[in-house]
Amino acid sequence: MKKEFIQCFYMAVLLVVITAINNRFFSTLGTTGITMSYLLLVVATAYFHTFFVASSTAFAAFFAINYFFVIPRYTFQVEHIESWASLISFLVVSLVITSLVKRLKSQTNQSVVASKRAEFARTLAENLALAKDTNTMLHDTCSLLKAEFNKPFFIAQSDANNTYTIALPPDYLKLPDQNAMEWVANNGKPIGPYTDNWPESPYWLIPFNRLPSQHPILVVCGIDANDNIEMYTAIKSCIDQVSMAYQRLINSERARLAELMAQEEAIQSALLASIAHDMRTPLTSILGAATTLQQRDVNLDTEQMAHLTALIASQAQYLASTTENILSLIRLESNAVKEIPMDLQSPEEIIGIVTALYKSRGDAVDLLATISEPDLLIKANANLLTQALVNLIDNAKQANLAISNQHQEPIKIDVTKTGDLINISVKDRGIGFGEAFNASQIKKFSSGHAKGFGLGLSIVQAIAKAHDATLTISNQNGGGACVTLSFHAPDVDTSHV
Amino acid sequence: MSEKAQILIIEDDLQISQFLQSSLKANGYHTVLARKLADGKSIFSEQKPALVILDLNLPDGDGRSFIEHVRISSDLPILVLSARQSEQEKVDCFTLGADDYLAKPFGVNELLARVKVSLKRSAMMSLRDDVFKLDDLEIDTVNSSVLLNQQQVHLTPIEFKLLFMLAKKPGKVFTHRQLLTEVWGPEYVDDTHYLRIHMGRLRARLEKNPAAPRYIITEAGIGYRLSAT
Repeated sequence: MKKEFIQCFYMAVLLVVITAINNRFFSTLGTTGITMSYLLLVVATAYFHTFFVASSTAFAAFFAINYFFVIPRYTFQVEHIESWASLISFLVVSLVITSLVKRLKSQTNQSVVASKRAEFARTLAENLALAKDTNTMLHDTCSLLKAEFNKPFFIAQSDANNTYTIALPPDYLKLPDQNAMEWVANNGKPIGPYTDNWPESPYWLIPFNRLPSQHPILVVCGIDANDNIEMYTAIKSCIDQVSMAYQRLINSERARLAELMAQEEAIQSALLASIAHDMRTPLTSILGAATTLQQRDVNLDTEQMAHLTALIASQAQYLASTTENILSLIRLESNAVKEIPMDLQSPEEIIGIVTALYKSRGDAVDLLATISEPDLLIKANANLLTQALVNLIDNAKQANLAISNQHQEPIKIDVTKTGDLINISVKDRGIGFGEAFNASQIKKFSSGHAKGFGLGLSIVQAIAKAHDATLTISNQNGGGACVTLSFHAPDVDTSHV
Repeated sequence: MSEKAQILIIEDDLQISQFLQSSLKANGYHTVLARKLADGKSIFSEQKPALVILDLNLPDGDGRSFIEHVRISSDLPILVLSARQSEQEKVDCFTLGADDYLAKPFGVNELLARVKVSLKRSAMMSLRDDVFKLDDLEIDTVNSSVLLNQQQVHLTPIEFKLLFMLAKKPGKVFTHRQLLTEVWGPEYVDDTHYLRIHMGRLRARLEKNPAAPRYIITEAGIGYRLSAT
């Protein structure tokens, strides 16, 4: 109301100015021109202001014309019927124009709101379509709703005890009545103003599932008298869209988990099948050789006995190393990997340990080590790195054997530093890898050899992963495979040591 | 001495103890078996064996308490056998005073080689010989000289200290912590890169092929020892 009085004051000032001008140019303008100038003022007032201000201006203009310009002048006496007609015209003009302008403004506002809502709906739909997980989707939805409706929106989720707490955004702690939350979850219906349930509530609780479920619930707080049914309808419509996207994500997540479980089961089955086959074979050899040696009625010569005992020893050694590989893989794939002690290691020392290991086994291996520069160190676990090298050397030995049983090429181990990486490469002269094979295709129990679990490279890969190192495989010029482990050079200054 | 040495085996597993006794007897050693820690302690006190082969998992306690018990009064070589393979377990045993550690499963040849080394070291200690000789390497700890192929090897003071410490007990494993504390000081116990680099340089001076060392042997994740055989 105060605003309208101020507007009336401005119109009065304008009226005085126009009256002064008309008075000055009365002889030139004549009564018609003067009336038109006042009509212009009424039209302008009706366009920009309310009907009250416009009608007040119309009355004031009528009195000004009648007092200053219509004979008898300078009296409030209305002599002519035309004067009343002009008053009625002024009032009708002000009424029509204010009504038209009001309607126009209303339609314009509606159009702007509709345009904003359309833009919001498009953003929301994009957001829902691109969402990869439910948490991110719900969080982004809350932010969008808050920006659009200028209200706080929260997501409440139930925990293991079916107690609802605010999950998103995490900084909001106060939660509506737990009973209300449970009612919404159990009935799949919203509560709050303009709904059929608990309309007196100071908040809206809208479920993401229309069926009874423990799915999240949207919480809208801070509802006041300005929040109309249109706003509720718009929010509800958004939540219907979000619900569909939420269900889609839940279903795709379930499908992905089911697929992962199926893959895991397939791997487990492959593991059991591999263990059953590859462990029974050496055990059969050991049992066969031992029981043969036990037989008293069989006369074995010294050479035969030596052959059988050597067979028992080599098969037992094979069983021991494969068992160690399986245990390592289990350890590496469990949480225990976080507890692996790491220390600075010298690649030269690790190669020395590997050489000594083969020597203690009585297993001759011809290694040719080249270390590009002294004092190279890597951060690693000594035992795991040793195991990785042993596996790579075992593979290299088998590859060399497959080419020739007679002349064995030495297995080369090159340690080099390129930029920030320290590379340990094991090279053989076997048939090399197939053209399409790369490190990402290494899978458990997928050995290309007749003997062995095929665990070797898988374990090397797991060890590389535990060290944040990379495993690359390639073929050498002139034939043979090259497997490289690349470690990040540690941040240690060795210059002053 | 090793041909008639008496070896105390403290092992509760029947099959392993039988195989150990058979192998050791076949190689000319006398053996005495204890299936419990308490029995092992009393046999150690009464019979004074030349070497102990000790299992860590025993029915009446942890084998490590036996190492502590022995080290109060004796420098007797102790060879630990265990299925436990964590680095920390091994370091703990060496810190307590074990001479060697063999993880199960193991081959009898490796066991016999280690028994031989431990007994040889023990015999050398009893002779109080201050000169260590192995193949072409000769270390004189009294005169502070190192000869390789009868040629003087020039070493830095740190390298001398490291080598002499290992040469005090050839065949015995010294942990990283022990070496760092002794050579650099207790404030350097975590600076294993000092050890790696100086050991690398020492090997470069002494070994024909540092990647297949003959004299300075690395025990993965544990420490170093000087080869005794």
